[in-house]
Amino acid sequence: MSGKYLEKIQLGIKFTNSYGSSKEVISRLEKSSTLVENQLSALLFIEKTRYDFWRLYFYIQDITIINWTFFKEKVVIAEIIVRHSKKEKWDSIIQAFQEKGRFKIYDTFVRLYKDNIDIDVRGLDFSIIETPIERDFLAIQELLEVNFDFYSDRIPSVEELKKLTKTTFLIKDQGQIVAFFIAEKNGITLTYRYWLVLESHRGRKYGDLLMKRVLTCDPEIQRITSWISQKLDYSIFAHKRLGFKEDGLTNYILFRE
Amino acid sequence: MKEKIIEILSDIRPEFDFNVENTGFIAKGMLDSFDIISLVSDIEENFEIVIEGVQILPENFDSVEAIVSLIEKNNANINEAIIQE
Repeated sequence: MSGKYLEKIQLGIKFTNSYGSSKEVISRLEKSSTLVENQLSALLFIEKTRYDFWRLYFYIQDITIINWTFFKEKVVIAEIIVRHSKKEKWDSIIQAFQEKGRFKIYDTFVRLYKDNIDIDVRGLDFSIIETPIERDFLAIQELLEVNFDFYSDRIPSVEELKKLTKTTFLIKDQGQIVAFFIAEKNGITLTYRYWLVLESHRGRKYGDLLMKRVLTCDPEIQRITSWISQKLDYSIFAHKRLGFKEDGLTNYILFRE
Repeated sequence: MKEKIIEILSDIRPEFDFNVENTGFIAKGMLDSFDIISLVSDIEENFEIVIEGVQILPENFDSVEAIVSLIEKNNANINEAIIQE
């Protein structure tokens, strides 16, 4: 499969949720099963996740041609990222997924960002914070599986976690991980990914300490982004109090079972 | 056209000087795949073009030159369609 395959499916396509470089998109297509392939109107494909569901990607011009029985009994997640100003354009697609495809809106995430990173670390003691070693990754993944949502939180594999080593910080108690903060750095931008303090260890400001440690891990960082579920209104409020602003993007997590 | 593109980029990411930093937006972390969604909307509105779904690839938005090229390509497609009509 090559870039020419992408060109073949591009005629008149108006809607997609398959983002990334050509290389990433082609790799995704190669790993997936195709459900619908109509060069003039749509291409839908699903990728099996490590868990009990499939992830759906699409290129759609005309949603009316889609035969939704293709999904059969599969559990499918489709993520659709929409900018507020374009919501009207996407409403018919989301509505068709709901009404014809029997998808439900499982969750919605808004993206927040902050530009001015001015962290006061005076008096903070980072000595209890560790960076992960080989055996920690599996433990982190197990904690993610217990404390985060399979369908909406994109739980990474151990291999994916290892790629985030430089921006992963943790606190242990008697050799066991009790708190961690995982971020992803891309150039000057840092994206918060996972942040957890076990209930047994809350109230010790571990979360705050870890966040400040992440922010000071690289002087190059100029911007932070974070996707937060709209269900967590207290978290959105807390971020805004820290100077975060919404940037107008919403991720609709559509779920079908 | 370049000035308008820089204005749009500055609107999305006001912290950067796109007159100085005008290439390597993705690698430098100045824009990500999701910022491109915002960028596509603004370019469509300002230049009255439609950017096809499969053109929404980071490489088409990685520099001011790449964006100019994308807009010109889409303008040419519109003109061709008008002539054919």
